[in-house]
Amino acid sequence: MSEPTEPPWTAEQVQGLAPDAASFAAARKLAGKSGWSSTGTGGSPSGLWGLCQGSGSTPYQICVDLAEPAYRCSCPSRKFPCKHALALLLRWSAGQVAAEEPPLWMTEWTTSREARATKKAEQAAAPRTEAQEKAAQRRADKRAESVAAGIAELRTWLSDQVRHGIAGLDQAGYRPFEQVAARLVDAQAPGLAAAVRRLAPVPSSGTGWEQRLLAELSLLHLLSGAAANPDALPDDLAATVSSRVGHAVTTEQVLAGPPVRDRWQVVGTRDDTEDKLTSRRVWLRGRDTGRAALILSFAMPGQALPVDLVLGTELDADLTYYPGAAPLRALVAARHGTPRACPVPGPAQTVAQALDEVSAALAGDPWLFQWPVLLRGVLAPGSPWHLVDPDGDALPLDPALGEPWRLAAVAGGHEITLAAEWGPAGLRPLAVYDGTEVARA
Amino acid sequence: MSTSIWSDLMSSALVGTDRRRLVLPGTDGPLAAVLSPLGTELDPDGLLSAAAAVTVARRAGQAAARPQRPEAAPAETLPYAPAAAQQRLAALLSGGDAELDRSTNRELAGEWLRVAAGRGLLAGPAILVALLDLGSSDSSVRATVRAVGGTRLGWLALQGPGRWAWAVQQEETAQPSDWDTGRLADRVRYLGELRARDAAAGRDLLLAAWPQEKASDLAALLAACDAGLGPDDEPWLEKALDDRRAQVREVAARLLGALPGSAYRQRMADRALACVHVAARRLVATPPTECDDAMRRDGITSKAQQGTGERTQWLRQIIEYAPLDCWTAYDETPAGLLSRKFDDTWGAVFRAGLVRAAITQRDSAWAAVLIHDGLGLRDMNELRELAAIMPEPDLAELIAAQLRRKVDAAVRLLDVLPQPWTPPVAEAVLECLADDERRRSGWWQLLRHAEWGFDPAYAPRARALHDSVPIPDQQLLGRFTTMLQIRHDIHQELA
Repeated sequence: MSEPTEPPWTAEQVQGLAPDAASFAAARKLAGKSGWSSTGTGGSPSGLWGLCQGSGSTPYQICVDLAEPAYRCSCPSRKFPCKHALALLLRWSAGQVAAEEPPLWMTEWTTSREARATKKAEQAAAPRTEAQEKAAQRRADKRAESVAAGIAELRTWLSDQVRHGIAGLDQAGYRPFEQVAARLVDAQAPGLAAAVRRLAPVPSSGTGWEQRLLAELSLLHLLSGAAANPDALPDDLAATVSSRVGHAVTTEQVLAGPPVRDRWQVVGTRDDTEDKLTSRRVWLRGRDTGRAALILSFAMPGQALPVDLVLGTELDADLTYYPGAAPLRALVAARHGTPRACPVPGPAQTVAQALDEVSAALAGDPWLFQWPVLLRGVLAPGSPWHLVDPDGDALPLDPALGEPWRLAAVAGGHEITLAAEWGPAGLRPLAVYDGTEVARA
Repeated sequence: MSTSIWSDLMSSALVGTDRRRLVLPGTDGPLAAVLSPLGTELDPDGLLSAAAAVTVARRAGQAAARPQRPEAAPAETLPYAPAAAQQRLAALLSGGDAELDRSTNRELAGEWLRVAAGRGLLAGPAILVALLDLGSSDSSVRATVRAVGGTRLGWLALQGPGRWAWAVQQEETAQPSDWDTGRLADRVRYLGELRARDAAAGRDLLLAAWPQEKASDLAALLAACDAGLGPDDEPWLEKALDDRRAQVREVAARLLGALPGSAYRQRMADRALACVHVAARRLVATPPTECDDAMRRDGITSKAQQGTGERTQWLRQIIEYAPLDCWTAYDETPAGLLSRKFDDTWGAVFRAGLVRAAITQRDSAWAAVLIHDGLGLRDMNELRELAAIMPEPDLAELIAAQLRRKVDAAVRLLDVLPQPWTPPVAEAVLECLADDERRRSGWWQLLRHAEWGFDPAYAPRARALHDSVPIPDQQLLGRFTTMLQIRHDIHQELA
C-alpha cells in the first residue's frame, strides 16, 4: 500500500473545494508553514491525513477521503472543508505528502464512515412493508394530483398572457413570474417553477424581448401540455417531460442504465447560483463516440462542489445517461484509470455537423437550450461575433456576453478549437484550445 | 414562410387575442402538418401551440452564417516570458496577493512590465486585454505595455474599442501632417525632431508660422528649438527678443542663454557683475534701480511677484539668467565664491539667485556645492531640484553620507535618486535600519522609498535584517521585506 493511489489534484482543483476565497487564502498560508506532522496518503478508499499544530496544545487531526471527497478535522471551525483540510490537500498537491500506512485515528474514521454507509444502504435496500408500500403510493398519488393542479394553473396563466397581450410585461417587473413560480413550487413542480423564473429577466433584456418571451411562453405551453397528458407520449419523451417538470430520478435508476464507455473530455465547466443553490455544469464530449454529456452537481451555501472533473483533461470512464429523448445529463458510473491532460480535443465539428447534432437533439427534446459543441475555426469580429469554420460556415456568439476580446487575443485571428455551449441566442464559449494549452474562455 | 407566420403570431400576442383575432394563412411544407390541425382562427392556446412549433422549427433549422474571415495577427519576433512569470503578471493585474493593496499590485505589475521590456520578453495573449485596460487608465505604463504586448497587442487594439487606440503601432517618427493638423504636443514633437535633423529647416518652418501663432503656442514651439541649437540661431533669436509678447521673449532669452558665446550671455554677465562687487573680501550686491527697456528685451520680468519687492525680483532674475561662469571674475571656483561672506541686505537674494541659476542652467558642479552649503537650511523643493541635476554617483555619495548623519533630511532627497540605488546608498540604508537608535526617525518614509529603491538582489539581506530585529520592529519591516521578495521573484521568474 505504499503506492500513491491517485495522482494528486492540482492547486486549482483544491481551490475549487474551498467554501470561500478567505479560506483558501488562509490555507495557502498554512500549507507553507511548519507545524505539520504525521502526514500521509494511502489506504482504501484512498485517504489523506495529517496533524497540524494550531493555537491549542494538541495538534488538529485532519482526515480526508479523496474518493468522495469527505473531510474531518478536529478544529472548531465551522467552515467546511476547513483551512486545515485545504492546506493538507495543497501540501499533497505540491507533492509534500508521502504514501504511508494510515494511522489508527484515520482507519477508525474510515471504518465508521463505511459502517454508516452500509447501514444506509441496508435501510434503502430493505424490502418495504405493505404499510410502507401503501404510504408511498398515497404520497405519489397526492403529488401527481398536486402537480396536475399546478400545471392546469400554469396553462391558464399562459393563455391569459396571450389573451390580454404581452406588450405590458416589461413594466411589470419580476413579480408576476415570481408568483406563478412560487405556486409551482408549492405544487411540487420545481422544474416548471425554474423555467418560469428564467422568464422573469426576459422583458428587461432589451430590443426583441417580445420575440424571446413569446418563444419561451410557447415552449412552456408545449411542455405543460405534454406534462398534462404523459400517457400519450412515447417513453423517452415522457421521461424528458417528467425531468423538465421536476420529477427526480434516483441515482440508482440512472446507474442501472446502459453504460457508455469512452475517453470523456472535459471541455467546459460553468457555475451558476440560483436561489442560493450553486450548480456546476461540467460538459463532456466523448473522443470515440463523439457524444455529448453533462454532469450536473449542486451545492448549498458553504458546501463545496465536486472537483473531480477538470477542464482540459480526459477520463476513460463509463457514463450512464439520465433517461430521456435527447440524453445529455449523465453520471460517471465507473472510472477506468486516471484522468489525463488533453490539449488537443476531438473530434472537432464543422458548423454544419454541430447544427445537425443540435437539430437532432432538439427533435428529441424541443426544450433544450444548452448543448456542448466543439468547433474548429477562426473568430471573426462583428456584431455579433462569429466563429467561422474552414468551410466558411459560421455560428454567432451570444451578444449578451459582450465582446469576446480575451478570446480574440488568445486566438489572434488564427484557427482555434472552441468548446462552447450552443444556445438559441448564440454560442457561449467555454474553453479555447490553441494546440498546446487550454484556456477558460 | 415561418417568418411571416411568426410576425402574425407576434402581433396578436403583443396586444392580446382579445383585441386582435388571429387567422392563420394556409401553409405548406413541414410546418403545415403541425399547424393545420389547429384550425384557421386561433384561440390563445392555439396561438401558443403554433408559436411553439415555429420556435422549435427555427431553432432546429438554424442556418450557418457566412461572414468575412478576419486578418490573422502577424507572428511575434520576440519570445514569450516563462509560464511562472505570466501567471505572476495575471495575478498582479487581477488584484493579486491579498496582503497587498490594489495600487501596490499595480506598481508591481509596472515593475514586471519594465523588467520584461528590458529583457525583450512578451506577455502572453491571454493577458493582453488586462494590459490594454491598464494602459487605458494609466498612461505612464503605455510604453512598457507596447513593448511587452508584441505585434498582437497592436493587432488587437486596431480592432478594439477606441480607448485602446494608444496601443495601435504608431509611426516611429512624427509626420509632417502632425505640424499642420496635430495637437500642440504633436506639433512640438514634430518640430523638435525636425530641428534635431535639420535645424535650419525647423527654424524656417517656425518663422513661416510665426505671425499666426498665439503667444502660448509660440512659446511652446520656440522652446522645442532647444533641439539642434547652434550659433546660426543667434540672429533670429535676437530678433525674437523684439517680439511684443513677454512669454515669447522669455523663451528666446532662455535659448540665447544656453548658446555659448552669444551676445545675450555677455549682456547678462555684464549686468550681473555690475550688480555685485567685492568690498573688503565681502560680496556686496546692489540691485538695479529701474528695469529699463534693454532688460525687458532680455526677458527680465519687470512686474514683481506678490510678496516680493521689485528690486529683489530684478536682482534674482539677473543672477538666475547670467551665465554662471561669469563669477570666475571674482573667484576661481563655486566653492570659493560661496565661502565668502555676503552682505546682509541683498546677500540672501544673491544666493537664492545662484540656486535658481544652477537649476535653470543645469550646472551640476554648482548644484553639488550649493547642496552641501544649504542642506538642512533651505526650502526642500529647491534642494530636490538641485539634487536632480547632480551626477548620480555624487548624489548617491551625498545621500549616503547624510543618512549616517540625519535620516529625515536625507529621506527627502531619495526620490530624486535614480533607481535601483547604488550599493553605497543601499548599504547606508541597511546600516541605518539595523541601528536601534537611528532607525526610529523617519523610518516609515525611508522604508517606503526603499521598497522600490533597493535592487531586488538585496531581498535575502533584507530578510536577514528582518529576522534579527526585535519582534515589534519586525512588523514595521514586514512590508519592505515582502515587497523586496516579490520584486526579487519577479526578476527571477523573468530570467
